Amino acid sequence: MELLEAIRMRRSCRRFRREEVPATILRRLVCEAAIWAPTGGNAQAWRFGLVTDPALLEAVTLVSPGLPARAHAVIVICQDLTIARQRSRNFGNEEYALMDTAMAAQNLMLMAHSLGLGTCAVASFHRGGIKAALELPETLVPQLLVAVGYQAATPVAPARNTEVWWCDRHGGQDLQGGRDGCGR
Amino acid sequence: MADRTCKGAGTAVEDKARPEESTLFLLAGWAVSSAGNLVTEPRAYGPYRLLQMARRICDASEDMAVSSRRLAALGQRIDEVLETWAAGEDAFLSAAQALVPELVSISRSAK
Repeated sequence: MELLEAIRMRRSCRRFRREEVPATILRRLVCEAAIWAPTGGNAQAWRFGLVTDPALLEAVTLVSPGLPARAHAVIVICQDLTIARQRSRNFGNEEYALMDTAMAAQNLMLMAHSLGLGTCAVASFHRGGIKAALELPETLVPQLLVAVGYQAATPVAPARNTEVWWCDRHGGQDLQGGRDGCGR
Repeated sequence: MADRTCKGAGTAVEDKARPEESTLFLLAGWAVSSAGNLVTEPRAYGPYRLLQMARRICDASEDMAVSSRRLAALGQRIDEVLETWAAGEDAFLSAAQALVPELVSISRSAK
């Protein structure tokens, strides 16, 4: 699948079919895509929890209002902030680590899409609840959940805000006279 | 003074043996988590989460073998309303409001 096609066709999937995602595929999403994202100060302080056990999924769902119903797998993207600070000093604060998490998530979601899987990035969860459910050590901070599964339906793409750019100084136009819009 | 003890509560072992209890606990727990999270989330998430809750109840009815045509119809309409979120918050809120009077006809459809 072409990269641009994957970028444009990926959707946030909120209903999944009752079909399990093999653990090997989940590992590939992490090892072949997520960890190749850039990190501030090359911290690579992320840790990825692959949750497929039904009892643990139930516990994760309990404390995650944003998680789609019937997700058969959830990737919990965490950051070890202690390691992040050791490796990259001020780049290792949580704000930077959150950016690393987001870039890793986009990588794995695009790969999932290219493999015919649906995903949904979820920030609406209770951090302490996730830590308790998965018995995370104190240093690991869960920052984002990604539900993974086979889509029950293809969601409609929200309209894009295309008035988003300028050239050089704010409000400037480019050499062809273009300004602001991606649609022109 | 009223007796406030919970006389219907079974032991954890007894409850765990029943799949319906697990389904109901998940629904109740999810509602509790939603309530906690909504304190810091955008206002429109409130109706969104309530509709998701209703959808999950429709799903649960299948799991608990008490499904009906009207529950299925309601679930489908809820999905359609939830999808309007893609068109923006205003579109979603107005679709959510429009669903309310439809409940009468959905309710009267075959059980």
